[in-house]
Amino acid sequence: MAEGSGVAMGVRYAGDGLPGLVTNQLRDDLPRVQVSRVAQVELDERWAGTSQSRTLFEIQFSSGKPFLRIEAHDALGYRVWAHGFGLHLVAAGGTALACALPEGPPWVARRLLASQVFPLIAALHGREPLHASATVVEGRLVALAAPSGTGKSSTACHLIVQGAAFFADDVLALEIDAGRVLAHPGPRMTNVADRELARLTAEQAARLGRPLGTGTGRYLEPHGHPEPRALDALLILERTPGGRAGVEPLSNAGASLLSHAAIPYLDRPERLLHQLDIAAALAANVTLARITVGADEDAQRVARRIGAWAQTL
Amino acid sequence: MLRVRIPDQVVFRTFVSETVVLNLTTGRYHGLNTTAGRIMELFRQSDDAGTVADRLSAETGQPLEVVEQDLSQLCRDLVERGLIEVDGGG
Repeated sequence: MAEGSGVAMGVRYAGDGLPGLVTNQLRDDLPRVQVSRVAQVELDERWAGTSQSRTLFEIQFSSGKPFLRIEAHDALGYRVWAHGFGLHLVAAGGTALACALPEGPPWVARRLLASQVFPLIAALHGREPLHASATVVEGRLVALAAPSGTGKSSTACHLIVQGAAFFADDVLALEIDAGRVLAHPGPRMTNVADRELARLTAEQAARLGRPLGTGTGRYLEPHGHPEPRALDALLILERTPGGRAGVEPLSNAGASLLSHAAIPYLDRPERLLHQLDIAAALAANVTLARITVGADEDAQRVARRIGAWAQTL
Repeated sequence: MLRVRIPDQVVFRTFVSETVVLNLTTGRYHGLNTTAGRIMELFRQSDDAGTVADRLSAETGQPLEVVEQDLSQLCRDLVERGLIEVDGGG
């Protein structure tokens, strides 16, 4: 096995190594992706020959220049690019990945892989990537779904400090397996805001994992290699000015779950149907709840509330 | 006789307090309340609007003429959203 080969989001990566993969669960029954590392100029040449690509998703800098762009071509597949974070071509069926990783330390490449490339490939292989972090709290796998910037990674960080174990950061891949909802861990990386780290002692910070580098916050490699397991609970995290209500059952489960899907641009009929089936399976088999927190409520306190709630599961 | 058909490209799943309907052609999700969701379920079992109205009237205890009016309005709404197709006289 090449260094760095392994599993992310329920998909096995073989060939040229990639950083951040989980390496202790190389099951043969997992969908497989062949990875090749190539120069960006080569990938640019491959894609430049296409005349019918379409942009699926784009984020721009305030200047209007593109920061992240995802394009699709019926035959070639998907082109995932982010300024300073690399370029990836994903085969249409998700069976091959050609990567031009960015210069710099390997953890920089993990960011685009973790946020876009691995979730896209997972979705192409029938996993449903949910915009959620997940930790094992009181022996239960608890996912925390929320939009970016709401504090799910910071909350997960404090849950880990309080004794939970890391499972996934930002994206959690789900699969229906024998009637239950099976969750697949993501790559071994988490991003914690500096202000949250500042609240911790050195010993507490060490529980979060090995420091990788600094970007928008601190990037860490959590300890351990989590294995797939059934999801026990899913919390929708919402911040409101008058928050701080308790944890309440989720009333509009269908709409809430669908609104937290990662990779929203992948709208092939079979994927949309799979999304709906996953949402229904979650509603039938997993404890679903909503936690409303105040706009200024710190993640440490939110984590305590979630920890106390998890004890009631 | 009004005949109601759920197109092949329309699928739905029932949750505790809602039904989510997906039109696979448009890629749009539609949320329905429990009553409308129950009606979709009944249309999956029978394409005859009269039969569905009878079942609903029996289940809810509402007078048949009231149920028929509500059902007619809902059908118009679902047709507009492309979630059902209707044949036959009004």
